[in-house]
Amino acid sequence: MASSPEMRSRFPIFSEETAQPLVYLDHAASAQKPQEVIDAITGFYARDYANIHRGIHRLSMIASDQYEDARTETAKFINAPAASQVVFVRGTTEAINLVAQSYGEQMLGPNDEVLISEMEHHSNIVPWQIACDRSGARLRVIPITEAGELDLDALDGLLGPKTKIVSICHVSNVLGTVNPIHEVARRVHEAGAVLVVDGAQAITNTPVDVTALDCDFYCFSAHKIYGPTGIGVLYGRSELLARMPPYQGGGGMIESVAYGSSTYADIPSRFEAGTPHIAGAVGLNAAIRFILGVGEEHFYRHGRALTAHALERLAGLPGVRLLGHAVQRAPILTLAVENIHAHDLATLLDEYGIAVRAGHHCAAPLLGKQEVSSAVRLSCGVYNTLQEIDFFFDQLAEACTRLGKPIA
Amino acid sequence: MNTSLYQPELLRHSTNPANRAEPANYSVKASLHNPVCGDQITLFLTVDSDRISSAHFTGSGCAVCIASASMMTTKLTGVAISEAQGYYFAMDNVLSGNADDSFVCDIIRPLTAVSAHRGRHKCALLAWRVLDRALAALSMPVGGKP
Repeated sequence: MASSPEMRSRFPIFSEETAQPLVYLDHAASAQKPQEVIDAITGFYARDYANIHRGIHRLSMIASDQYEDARTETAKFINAPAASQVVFVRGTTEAINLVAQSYGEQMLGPNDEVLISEMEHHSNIVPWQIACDRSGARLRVIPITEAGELDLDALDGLLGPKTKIVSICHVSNVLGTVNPIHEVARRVHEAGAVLVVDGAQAITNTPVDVTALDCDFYCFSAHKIYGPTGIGVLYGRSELLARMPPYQGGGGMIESVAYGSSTYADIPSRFEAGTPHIAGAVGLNAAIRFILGVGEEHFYRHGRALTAHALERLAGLPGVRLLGHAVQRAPILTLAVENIHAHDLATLLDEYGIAVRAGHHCAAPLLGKQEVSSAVRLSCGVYNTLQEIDFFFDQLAEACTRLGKPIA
Repeated sequence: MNTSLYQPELLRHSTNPANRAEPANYSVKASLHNPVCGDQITLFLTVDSDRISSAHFTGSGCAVCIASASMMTTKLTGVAISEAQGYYFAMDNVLSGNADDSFVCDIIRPLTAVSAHRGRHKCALLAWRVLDRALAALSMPVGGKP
């Protein structure tokens, strides 16, 4: 299924006059924004803006309502039982850090273990290294299979009474693998541990229903799902959030303050110190309306069609290695070309108007295991077309030829 | 396309680099890597009184990184140490657009195309940073053989 011109026209960046048409295949790094998200943010600043939760005046109440409305709609969108389980943060990275520091450091001790997988982004590795360093807990790594799928048998082998936290991605930002979160949650809970999910690449690529997935924490960013940067979500189970200490101190997160001591507000305010990204929340709400308006099923079908087409084109290029061959996958394909550095490819592709990510994709340990130091990643959103996939592979071959190492 | 990074001369240096070998004898050796892309360059300098008599390198990286190392080691042969000490700074200036014509000789001219590609400056600069480090090691009293 090709993206219709109507869908593309909803994204103003594709109507910009440029020397050559923009072929944006860097969706997994950040999504382009539809006009309605841009309008929602602009309109909020133009008409409804004030600080929230503090003012008695009319605008403050309007802004507060819009901020809290965004929380309610986000909770419905991911099927969280209550809006209070949605904490607004800067993004996935901050959400994971919040859990690692606030929940992790409270729950972890020297004999405990935290499990992550081999396919994690640096943002789901480093916060746990810090938490383990501070608590004396041990960080262990769940291996992946040859196909780039989570090795569930190995997970069973690693899970035990020492395991306190398991933190894995829902969708790999390198391999495109969609992990069976519900299945993982069952095993993690049987071991008495909690499951944290890095959902940065998941929404619009696979259904995200936190109740059905049965995870304990779920983290995602608005900017990867057609919303603005600087706003993201930490979903948490109420009973876990309720017993977690604050992450940062400041205004908005307290119940009472005295010089001797303060008492903290209930969830979610306890985790939202300072003036939050109000317009960001409004933008996230608009992005959710956009996704629901188009219909989530459309995003999945579109992603599957683009992936299938890309895999077909790849089959004809023996010199190009695809990292990860998971059955359940998102339209994220990371390619290593024999004897050609990814930065050279990305620079040449940029000359043809193609935007792709090149490098280690913030997953250096994973690339190291694949014996690759850098790779080119194409990743697609709802605005991409089959013609763009064709153009990418044609120009990839052309770039290799120009670099003196033809692949076709 | 004249803004292209990949002009024939640069590609020639990257596919058939000059001085890419570890010499049996050398006066000083230094290494650096770019953590973002994994490129790595080790430089070997042989010094005869106050001049660089030969420069070699080993390592891996993108076409720009390897071509830069190849061009730099070619340019270095016979150059006074005192002059080479200003090279990293000069190269950085060339890429930032403050080109000093006396520095941009024919050998390194293809590298000036990198200046239009800000994301690639670090690729072109890696070898020159290693040079800076090697020369600093050379001027240190311990282990130096001036």
